[in-house]
Amino acid sequence: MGGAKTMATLKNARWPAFAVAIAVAPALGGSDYMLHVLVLIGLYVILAESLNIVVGFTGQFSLGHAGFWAVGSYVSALLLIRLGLSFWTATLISMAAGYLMGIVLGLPAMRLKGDYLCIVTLGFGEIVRVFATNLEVTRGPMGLPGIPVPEIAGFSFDSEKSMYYLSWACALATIYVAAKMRHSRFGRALMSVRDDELAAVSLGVNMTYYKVQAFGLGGMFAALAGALYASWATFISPDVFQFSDSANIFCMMILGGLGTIAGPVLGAFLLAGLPEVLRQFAEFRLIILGLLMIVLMIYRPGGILGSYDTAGVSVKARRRKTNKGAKI
Amino acid sequence: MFFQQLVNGLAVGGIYALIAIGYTMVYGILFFVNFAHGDIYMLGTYCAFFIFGFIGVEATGGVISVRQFFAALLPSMLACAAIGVVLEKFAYRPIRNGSRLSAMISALGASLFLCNGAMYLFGSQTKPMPKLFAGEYFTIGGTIISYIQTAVLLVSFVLMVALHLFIRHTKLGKAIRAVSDDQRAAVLMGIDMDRVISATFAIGSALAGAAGIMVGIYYGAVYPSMGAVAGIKAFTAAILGGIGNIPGAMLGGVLLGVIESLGGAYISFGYRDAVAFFVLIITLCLMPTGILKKGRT
Repeated sequence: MGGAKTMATLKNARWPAFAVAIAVAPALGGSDYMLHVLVLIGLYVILAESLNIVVGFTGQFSLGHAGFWAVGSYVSALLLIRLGLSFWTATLISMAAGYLMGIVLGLPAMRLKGDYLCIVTLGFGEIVRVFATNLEVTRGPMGLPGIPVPEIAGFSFDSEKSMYYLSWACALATIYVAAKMRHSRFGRALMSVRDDELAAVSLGVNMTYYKVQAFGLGGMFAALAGALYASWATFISPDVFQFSDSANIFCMMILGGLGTIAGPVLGAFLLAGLPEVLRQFAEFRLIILGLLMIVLMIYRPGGILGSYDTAGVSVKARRRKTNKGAKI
Repeated sequence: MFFQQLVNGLAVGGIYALIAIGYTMVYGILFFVNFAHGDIYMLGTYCAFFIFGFIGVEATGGVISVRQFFAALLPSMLACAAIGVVLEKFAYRPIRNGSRLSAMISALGASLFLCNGAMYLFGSQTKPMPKLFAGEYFTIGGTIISYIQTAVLLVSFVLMVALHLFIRHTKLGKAIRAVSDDQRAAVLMGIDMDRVISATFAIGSALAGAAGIMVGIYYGAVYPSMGAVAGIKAFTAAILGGIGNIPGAMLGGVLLGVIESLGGAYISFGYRDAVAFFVLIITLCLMPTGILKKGRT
């Protein structure tokens, strides 16, 4: 029994341990370039984790997540440049914009699922990019340069190290919210919609509300990543937010393990981190990545940490259900 | 201007239709979106590019004869068919009984592999393609119709008719229809699934290859990432017409091409792509099964 208890303690301690590891990592040395890569990974953690709310929790395929990322980036950047708002206000407003966009995109989601939803979300991502390319206010393909960095009480987040802490604070907050959500009434409702719409509706779950909310929240956090990205890179253009990025975020979530909390984090480390580590094989890295995805789907279709079967029900959850009654 | 845009749209639409057929055929049988399809189309263009180089046509400003065009068209279609069959064998067959999601991820992986493989082998820069008919055209009532547009429409039309006849009147075509209608019953009747699926990939990929060559010649350029946008558009066309339905894909492709051209002309050229996607989203919300439903199910 002692062993089991230790295991449980270890399991409970893994997220705090992860947070501590993140906090001390820069102290262990490492170049600005290392930190740069880690900031990028942090942003992708937010993106993959927020997409997980839409796809992993609620079972709605979305291939347009880069669209929300773009909305967040552009809204925040424009507020900073044109209106001179502070980073924090701009970020909050851009998150609200991301949330609203999610709600708008979630409306067709009421009627569509599977591949149809996939193509609508994909279309959404492209529409956002087309608007960013053609609108006057976004300066089209030339992009928006000179986006100011975040500042608080005279302290400016202009170094990689400070941006590292800011982005990872947001990433950890996102992970925390997602983890809390998963075990809340709200999260259970999302998962019930995913697992069996009919059963969920007959038990009184307002399916429309939850589907739309999932998109809203996913969009909100993606917009947060966007606002951070804009102020970190100080330059954004429509080229940053391509379909390939949506696909990339989607793959991070799947590779790590759909519907899990740790999965998207692992996926972000692998897909955003490995290409940087493999810089010397720059020509081959995406070729290898493509092969890796195929091989993984053949041998471990549920992702590295996940266990997702064809019916869309988490095997783990089902096992727990049979062991402990109806608790999911 | 309306008729001019209509002609432009029809030519592009014919090409979309050819690519869309591949998406729709694979979807009709395996129920997943073959994201690598756009990259097979790109490889088709490269095949033609190398064949033209081999037979000594100058890429920049070169003009090919109709015979040279067909000399490149057929081998490229064959090469694409082979690539499609091999792709299915290695990337999709092992997970055929898995979830649709893993098939989709595998397809995204295959797309990354092919696109970046092409980038590595052929270089990422845009390469010029020779022209057919050197920009000659004729006019009907003030509408300029170039020879190449006519050729693109004609070749697309002939290929689609050929496909239709094949699907309707051959044994293999019948088998494809049977599997698409009811997989289990088809297998019980002794239809070899592997063969049908290979054939589906071969036909779809060959048509994508044909589309690739024509696009390459039409726009005079070839580059490794050209498959991405064309693939998305063609998929849109397939859904617009009703996915899984071959005549639907043809109709959807032509419609999308025309809507895009007209939208680009009357609203703004820059918003051309957005027009296409707005149409798609509206179509899906109002009639989620597309214009023509998948028949006989």
